[in-house]
Amino acid sequence: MLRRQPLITLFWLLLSLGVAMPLLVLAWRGLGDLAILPRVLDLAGVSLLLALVGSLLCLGVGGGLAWLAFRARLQPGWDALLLPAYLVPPFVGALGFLYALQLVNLQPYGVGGILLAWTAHYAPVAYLLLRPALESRLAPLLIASEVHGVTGWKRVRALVPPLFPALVAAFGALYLTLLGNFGVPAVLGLPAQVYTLPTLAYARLFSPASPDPLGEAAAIGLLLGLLAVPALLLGSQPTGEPSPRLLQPRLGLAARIAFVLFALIAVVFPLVGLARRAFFNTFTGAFQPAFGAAWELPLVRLGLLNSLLLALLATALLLLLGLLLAPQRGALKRLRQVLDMHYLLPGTLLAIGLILLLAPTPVYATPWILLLAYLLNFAALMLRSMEAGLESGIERLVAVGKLFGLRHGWAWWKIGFPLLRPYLAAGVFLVLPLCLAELTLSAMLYAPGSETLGVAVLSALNGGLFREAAAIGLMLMALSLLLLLVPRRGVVG
Amino acid sequence: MRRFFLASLVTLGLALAQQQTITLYTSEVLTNVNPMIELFKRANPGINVQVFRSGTGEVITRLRAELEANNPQADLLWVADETFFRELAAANRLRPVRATTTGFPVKFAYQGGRYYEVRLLYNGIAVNTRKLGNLPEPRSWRDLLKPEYRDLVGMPNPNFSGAALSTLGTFSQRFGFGFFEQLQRNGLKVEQSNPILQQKLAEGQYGIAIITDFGIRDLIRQGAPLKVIYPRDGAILVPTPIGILSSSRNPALAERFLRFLLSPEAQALFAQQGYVPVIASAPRPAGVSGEVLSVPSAADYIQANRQTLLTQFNTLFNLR
Amino acid sequence: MLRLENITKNFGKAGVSGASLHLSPGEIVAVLGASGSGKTTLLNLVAGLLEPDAGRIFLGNEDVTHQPPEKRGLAYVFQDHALWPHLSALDHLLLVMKAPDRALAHHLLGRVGLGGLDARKPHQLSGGQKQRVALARALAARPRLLLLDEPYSALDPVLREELRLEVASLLRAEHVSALHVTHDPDEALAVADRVAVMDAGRIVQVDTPTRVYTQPQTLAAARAFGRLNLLKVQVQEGKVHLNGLAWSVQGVESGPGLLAFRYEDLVPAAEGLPAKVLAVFGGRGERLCRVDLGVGEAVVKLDAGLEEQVRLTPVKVLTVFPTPQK
Repeated sequence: MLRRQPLITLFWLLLSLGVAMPLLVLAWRGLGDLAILPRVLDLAGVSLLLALVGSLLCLGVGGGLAWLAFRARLQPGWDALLLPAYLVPPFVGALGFLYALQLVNLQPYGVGGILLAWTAHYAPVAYLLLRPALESRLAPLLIASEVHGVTGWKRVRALVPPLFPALVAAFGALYLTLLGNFGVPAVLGLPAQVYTLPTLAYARLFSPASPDPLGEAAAIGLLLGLLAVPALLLGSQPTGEPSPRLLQPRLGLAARIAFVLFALIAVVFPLVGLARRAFFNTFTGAFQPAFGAAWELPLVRLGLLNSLLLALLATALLLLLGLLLAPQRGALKRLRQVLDMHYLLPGTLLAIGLILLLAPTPVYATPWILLLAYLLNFAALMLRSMEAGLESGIERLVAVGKLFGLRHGWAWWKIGFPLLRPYLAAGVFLVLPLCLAELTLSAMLYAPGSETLGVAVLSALNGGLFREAAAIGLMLMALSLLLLLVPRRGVVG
Repeated sequence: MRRFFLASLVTLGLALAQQQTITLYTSEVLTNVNPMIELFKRANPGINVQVFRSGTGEVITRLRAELEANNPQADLLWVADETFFRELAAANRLRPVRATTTGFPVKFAYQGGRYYEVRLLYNGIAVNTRKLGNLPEPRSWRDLLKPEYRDLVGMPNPNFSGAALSTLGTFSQRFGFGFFEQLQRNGLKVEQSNPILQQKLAEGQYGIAIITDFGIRDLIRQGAPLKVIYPRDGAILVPTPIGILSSSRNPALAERFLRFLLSPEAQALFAQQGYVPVIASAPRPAGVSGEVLSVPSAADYIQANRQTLLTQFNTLFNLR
Repeated sequence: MLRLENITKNFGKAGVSGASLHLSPGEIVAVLGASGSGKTTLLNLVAGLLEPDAGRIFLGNEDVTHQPPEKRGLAYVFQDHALWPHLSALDHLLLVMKAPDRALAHHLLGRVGLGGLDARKPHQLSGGQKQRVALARALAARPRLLLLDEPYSALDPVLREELRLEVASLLRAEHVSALHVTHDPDEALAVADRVAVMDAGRIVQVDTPTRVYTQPQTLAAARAFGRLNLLKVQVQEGKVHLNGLAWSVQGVESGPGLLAFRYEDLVPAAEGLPAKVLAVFGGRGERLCRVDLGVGEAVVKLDAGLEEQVRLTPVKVLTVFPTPQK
């Protein structure tokens, strides 16, 4: 026991070091290219500001919807109006807004379009994060203030502070996500020379004007990491049990109108934009679906195949990892904590780190580097889902089985794994769609033969194949909406 | 399910390994390069051509990074930046191919056949006739400075597009960099690439574009209200050579692909796609009769001043 | 069957220190104690869910102190049933049987009163039915020793009394040894051959339920069964004086102490202490009064009215306990 301890510590130390390797290499290379930073500080400001404003918008819209749903005692079924916007990959939504805004003669490129696409996609996340907090924290307080006749400003003062931890946690999560988001500013910012740090790193990486593209990208990645760190310190907020529903429904009509309005703006509007482009000739207005032409592009077929294979393989491997580790919750938790860095920090950092680390190896320019990146990026998500299951008492039920003489493996096989199934399913339905529509990592790591669906859309867009891009986007949107039909447990991505 | 999945993955891997594959890095637009590859594959069954397609700038940067890491993936390179080919040839990274095709002008087998011109494309002026309305069409490059075209003109990003780099270099040499400063003052905007610019031109977001000719002809076929104008003072002949890297793992196949591009059926397809074929006896693209009045791209000047040019341009248009 | 030798486990407030206990085959021992007295910790030590810091545990002649739970051949009935949500009642039994035998499992379910409910899953069963499944599962495992941790406290009183008598007779019929943890003295009295009283991590007395009730060795043991009156007294040379009445108490040091006697041992007597009835309340099938004895308050089984003056005397005194140092 005593002799094993240092070995175990050493093992975890080495593992953490190995997992952190891409980031360490990035930091090392980035520190050598700090000279670029003064020239990009203004963009760091833009990124920071965009992420802050975007988070506030998402929090405002999502929180507002959560408040209305909470006050109106809306049935969970109404969530179905918000979820589609979240299920559609952000860059597909951005593509939809691009075309939809052009339809109504609005300039889609730039800050406004980016914020719109972000809010449409991530406000439901804020809603999903805040609604349980409202139910568990606010409901009893609201009932108490109604019973005791606390009204007006006094009521606000009584109700808002207890919500603060939940708001701060949701804000932190949104900020991290938006800061690292690549797809939306790539579609709506890059063409108008509006850069955020992730798209700038991407632009530098492929810029012929740069004497050291990789070094400059690394330096920008370093800056991005720096902006992310403060948000990492805002811990997540455990939500309590929902309280009994004694509240009288109020604002029912307003809540329903708001939900429908959100669905119209966040889903139907971009959908119309995509459909208009995909089905009708832009110049003549004739009905001329572009699906055939899109399907004819080898890039699309290859991207679909690669995305499917990568998503299935990554999900299967993570599932396997989770299953292997489930019987050792301590190890699972520690591994998850180690892997959290690649889940929480912007994917751009991981991508640049992997290029730096693996460019001279045969893994580079193969689908395997993408698989590795997906595994590192999404492992924590899958493991978190498993942890939630283990913490719900499954471990104890396995221990009961062992008490009755079942051997360790058999007890897990007959009791633990079957009970974990819903949590595994939740993990799969979190990870699989994210892998399928992945863009941040694949845009930087893909090579001929390992294009993904996201890369196909981006390439089509950059290649002026607007209608084909719309057709693929529409197909991706349909695919994502199919996920609505999958029953899900309250797990938030 | 999982077992089936792994099995099919292994099968797929084996299938891919058995097929002979060459990798092409190119800035050719996908809708043009794909049919060309299909044509090649039909004549050469069992050979797979993988394509990495992006703007010239990105393709070069990527290949540079791979060369630096000593792990180049491309067998063939086909981009619109002759200077990079010169650089590769000087470093002995290109594999010479003997020109044997009859009717092929030897001047387009550069540096003793280290890289080839396989079809010609020109930087000219394209206009959206609907957007332009009653305004007169520009006849020469300098016409673009006229105040009546204010806020109507666009060009692709030379960091990304090799053709645009050619524009930047050729005009800087010919008219001085001040030409771009004047264009900027007249409201010139920069788009990422030729394909994007031509789409936006077709949609009426621009009235005039400094742009490659072939794609415009393609859009005209689709019904876009566009027109190609070769300026009186000469369109720019943009070199878009193709060469075989000496690091190619499959040089024989790569050479077969290169020679195929000079074959009559490939040359005819080029013409169909709106390019001017390099072989005189091949058909001409629709709307092009006779020789295009052109000036050569200022390759030497670009090679010598590439970094300065791009930096100046980026500063002027606030590009990163 | 089970032998605990000087078991010690530091476990926060609910630790165990120096506990020794012996169970004969077929014997049912109730571990009785207040919450936090360490009784569940003791059970978990026997189960192997915890490892003792010191001491040894034997099952039969086998030292199992450091054996994992699955090697010990035990069964456990939990307060919250700890059923497996995805398994039917029958599958619960089949999973724990060394040699799965559907007929036997079916028979056992019948014996615990679950005939016809073989295929039900836990969420389709009532609280009492769930506990019956838990019990049938425990019996199906053919354990060397059955552990029960407050098995009935989540059930309603009627069900509780019904089930504990049924179970006790079932265990006796099957000749199963059992360690039964409870804080309910009625339960201990109803099911156990012997009672082990725990207090602050120590086993303070092990004896038949009657002996523990009538001859508690410590204040905690006396308290464990409830129905206890305590009066502050002074002991002088083996004697206690109370308003002119005197008892001799053997082996008690002089000084302040607590005179202990049960409710039913305080009876009306002409020569007794004058007392006033402060409150009247119903016991189970009896009438209880809280009275002021002048020297303190006490509860007594008495048919009297509020404010009534009576004279009472303890006919049987347990002992005088030293005043707790707290």
